[in-house]
Amino acid sequence: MEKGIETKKKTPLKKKTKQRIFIILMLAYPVLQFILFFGYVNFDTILLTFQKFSWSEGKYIYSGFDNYGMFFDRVFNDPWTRRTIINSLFYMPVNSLIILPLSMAFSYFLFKKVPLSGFFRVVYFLPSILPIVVMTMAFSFTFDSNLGPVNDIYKWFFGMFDSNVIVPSWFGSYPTNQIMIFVYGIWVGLGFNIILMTAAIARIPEELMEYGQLEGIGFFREFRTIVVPLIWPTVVTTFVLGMTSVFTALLQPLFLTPTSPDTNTIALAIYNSVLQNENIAYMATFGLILSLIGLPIILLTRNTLSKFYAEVDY
Amino acid sequence: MRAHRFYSTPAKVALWVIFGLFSIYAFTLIFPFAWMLVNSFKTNQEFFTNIWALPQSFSFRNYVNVLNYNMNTAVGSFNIVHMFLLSVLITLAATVINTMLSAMAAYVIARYKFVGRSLLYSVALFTLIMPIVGTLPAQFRLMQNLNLYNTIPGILVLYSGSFGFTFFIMHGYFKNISPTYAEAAFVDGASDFQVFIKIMLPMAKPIMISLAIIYGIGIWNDYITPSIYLKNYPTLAVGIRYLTQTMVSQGAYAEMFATMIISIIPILGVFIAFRNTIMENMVAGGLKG
Repeated sequence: MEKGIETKKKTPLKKKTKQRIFIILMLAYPVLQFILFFGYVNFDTILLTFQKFSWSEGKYIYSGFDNYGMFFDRVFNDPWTRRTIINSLFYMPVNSLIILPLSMAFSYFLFKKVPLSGFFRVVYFLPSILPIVVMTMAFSFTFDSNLGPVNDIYKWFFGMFDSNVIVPSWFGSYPTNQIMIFVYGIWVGLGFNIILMTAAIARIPEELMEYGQLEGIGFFREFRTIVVPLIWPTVVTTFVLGMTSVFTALLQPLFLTPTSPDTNTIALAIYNSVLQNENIAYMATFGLILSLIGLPIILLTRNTLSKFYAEVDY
Repeated sequence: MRAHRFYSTPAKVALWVIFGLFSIYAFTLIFPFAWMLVNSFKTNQEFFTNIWALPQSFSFRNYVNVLNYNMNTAVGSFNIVHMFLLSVLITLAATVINTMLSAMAAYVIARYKFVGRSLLYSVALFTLIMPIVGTLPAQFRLMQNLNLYNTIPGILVLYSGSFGFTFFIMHGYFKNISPTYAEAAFVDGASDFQVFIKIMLPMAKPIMISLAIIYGIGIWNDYITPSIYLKNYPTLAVGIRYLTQTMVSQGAYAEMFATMIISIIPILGVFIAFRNTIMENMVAGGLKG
């Protein structure tokens, strides 16, 4: 359509106008929605950081750098703000350094067709399609301190060594509840990442894998020298997604530890402020400053990691 | 079948160890749901007596009892059936709107030359790669100012962003379609709209359906957006959390298990029906890029 469509039956000018109207009509809504909900919202976020809500006037008024001052004051003096940031930071190693390598290994062997690999693939899909509300409830009830099945298993197993075994209260206090949130993250994230990785491995041409097998190389070498370089773009994307979870993790603490303020995260703090319509101007500042610190680090990591292996088209 | 004969003995042992690990992980994923399914048929008395025993009689009474639990909002009282219907309505509407708009934008940007075309594409790509956080407060303020807060059209507007994952897959698709079909139609005097609706959309139907299913699952499961912007109209994802919390506070565990099972049946049904489509497209070649 880009070339040679201008037919000779109509005058080119009329045709051009009609085409222009078509383009405008097709793009009008998508572009308008984008300008409002991406462009304007980002612009307004910056405005909001210089404002505060005045209850006497019933609207937002200019407040200079107050929100910024409050941010730095809280980071240095408020233990709750610090814990919120530290909790969030821990999501990165859990996602990028534990779940990602584990899921790469799992996917490789899933691809190697261990028995029942088709069945496993379907089961590992569950975390990707079931609502997180249901996944978290299933998880927390399994560990329920009165009626959960894990309690009985724990008592039976450790009862063999110690007759006075006491089952820990899994979600009772910090930091155990924070660790349980990460355990949940691994449980669910593993399935999710395996789906991503197996799709990437499946795209590797069979000749390459067969060549390695004919050479008689072992699993580890095949994984390291053939599989990892060829799925590297997916690995980098997943690694970066793991980094962004520092800013996006919110539903796990909300659902698993609804009553504990100790497991707060950056995104949860912002979400709660919006839900209660409280301090949203300060929270916009909180999010903006942390993004300004986080984005360059994420981009730099992405660029550095991408250079490890040259991207191959296959 | 991949060539098993190449595997040496240690390799075979390794594969069986891996198989063991796989089985354990799969078991942990299935077990909680199987356990809930069994307990959803017991009475609460039976459940408290022994959480491992099988139900003494088989009955759907807990599933019927779930209907007695309501969530009251400013506009009315919602039980699980209402929530289900609301979720169906919102998911269908959002999915159809989003898929159509994404396809429209993708088609024009892929096949027509106009000023700002590459700018639009680059900005869209930028937003997909760049994680931007902390804009929720401003989004909330915008929704309030547009009077879209707490309305169903409002949430549909939020879901109608047309430059996401669907857009990029459709863009790639339209870019690679052979121009001959469209050219032939233009020679016959078809308009741009006719070519899009009568030729392009039917061709793209299979891929659009796949993308719609994946997008729809995301909307069906979404908790954050409706919990903020649709407080008066609980969707299933939001409502079941409230219902199950109420049940637990009243000691109605068996009803809670029934609620959980009810809430996963629709999504499992969709997954089983469209298993291959979902599994092939969910990740579109493993998120390359």
